[in-house]
Amino acid sequence: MNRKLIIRLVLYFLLLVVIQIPLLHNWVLYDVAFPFPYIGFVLLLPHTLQRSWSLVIAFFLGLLIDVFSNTPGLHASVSVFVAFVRVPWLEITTDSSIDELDLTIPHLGLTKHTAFILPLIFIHHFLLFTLENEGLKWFGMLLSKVIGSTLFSYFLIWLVTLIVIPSGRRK
Amino acid sequence: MLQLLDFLYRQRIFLLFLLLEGISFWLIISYNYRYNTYFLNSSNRITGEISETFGNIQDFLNLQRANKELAEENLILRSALANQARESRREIETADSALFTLALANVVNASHRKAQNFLTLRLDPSDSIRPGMGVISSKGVVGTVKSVSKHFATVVSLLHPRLLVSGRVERNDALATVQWNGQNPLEAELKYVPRHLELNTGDRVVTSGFDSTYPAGVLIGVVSVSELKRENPFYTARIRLATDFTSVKTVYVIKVKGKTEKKNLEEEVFNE
Repeated sequence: MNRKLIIRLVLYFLLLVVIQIPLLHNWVLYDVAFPFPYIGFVLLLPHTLQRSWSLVIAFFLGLLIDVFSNTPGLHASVSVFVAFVRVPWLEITTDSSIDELDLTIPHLGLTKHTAFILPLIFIHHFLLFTLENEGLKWFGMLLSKVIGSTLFSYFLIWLVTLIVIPSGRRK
Repeated sequence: MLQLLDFLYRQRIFLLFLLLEGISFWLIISYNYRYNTYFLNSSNRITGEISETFGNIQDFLNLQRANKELAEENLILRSALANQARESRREIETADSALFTLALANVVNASHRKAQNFLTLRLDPSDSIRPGMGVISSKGVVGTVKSVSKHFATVVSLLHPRLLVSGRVERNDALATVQWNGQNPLEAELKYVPRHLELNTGDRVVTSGFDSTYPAGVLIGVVSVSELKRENPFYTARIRLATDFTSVKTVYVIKVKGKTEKKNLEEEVFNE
């Protein structure tokens, strides 16, 4: 881990996780889009990081969000799952020969970046709302919530990567 | 043995994954079925303080509306006081009036758009609030205290599918149960109103007082939809909730004096 990477992770944490906490209950678009951009932090962890570490980080990150939203275990379970499938999914959607400073749009290209991130956000939100809802009842409303929130979260994560990358690319 | 260890070592990430998921689900389940697991929710000291700071900023922006609501409440109280002064001579004081004491609390954090909603209150430590106490606002029922720390309390909102409130239709004294169905934060379902009674839209539904959490007669909501299907023994009805959960800021926690005594007595009888 070099300095550049650490700075980038700190920025991701500030922009994706810390901002999430005070605005958690208040960011809602049209009653269907509830953004959870914190999952972007799990997705954008360097893929060279040991998998067991990324699981542990995802667990405590989820727990942090849980503590503030009175849902102990909910976000933790879902973000651990996403952290678990992240690396295999990355290898499927992109070439496995990527170097360390990689999970950025300039490196991967927008198509691959989206193919990597968007389905995982969808899975995260789908599991999250299903668990919160305790099953698949009111499926139409559930699905509209999942899709709306996925797009909103993806947009926010995409925005944050745009802000953060220039500082990371400086050599 | 070595092979087993080798296998476990190779599968260590998967095992760690299972362990973390296990802990998570244990947390989910234990939180839903047990009271006062307060170290992991918003009645915790640190998270309470942080939520309060953000809440304060919002409070400031909402001051004007809060002022207006307080003035309205004042008006209601004054008129009630005037009425009481007029009627007190005629009425025998009921035991009820001494049974309940109220404690004022500020809402520092609240949700209303999720499938299960909670509120966090800032308490005065001297009020000795306990889990299980009822919470009302100036407009109506809010919820029940779930867990308490020294300065904060987490409240299960009426917008939580597991909270059932015993209600009474004011016009004909029909008993009913109010339960939120997880969809619209402005409405809840009114269950078990038997079909031989009349139920119209616009009827007021108040607390029955039977659950010894709320005093009798606190407004819960007003009937907005009432259907009588041919095959059902009960009405299919919804009420528009009296409390506006999007803007609730000041609430009262209700302390009931003989609650444990009543509960013990009832359990004694039912267990025989």
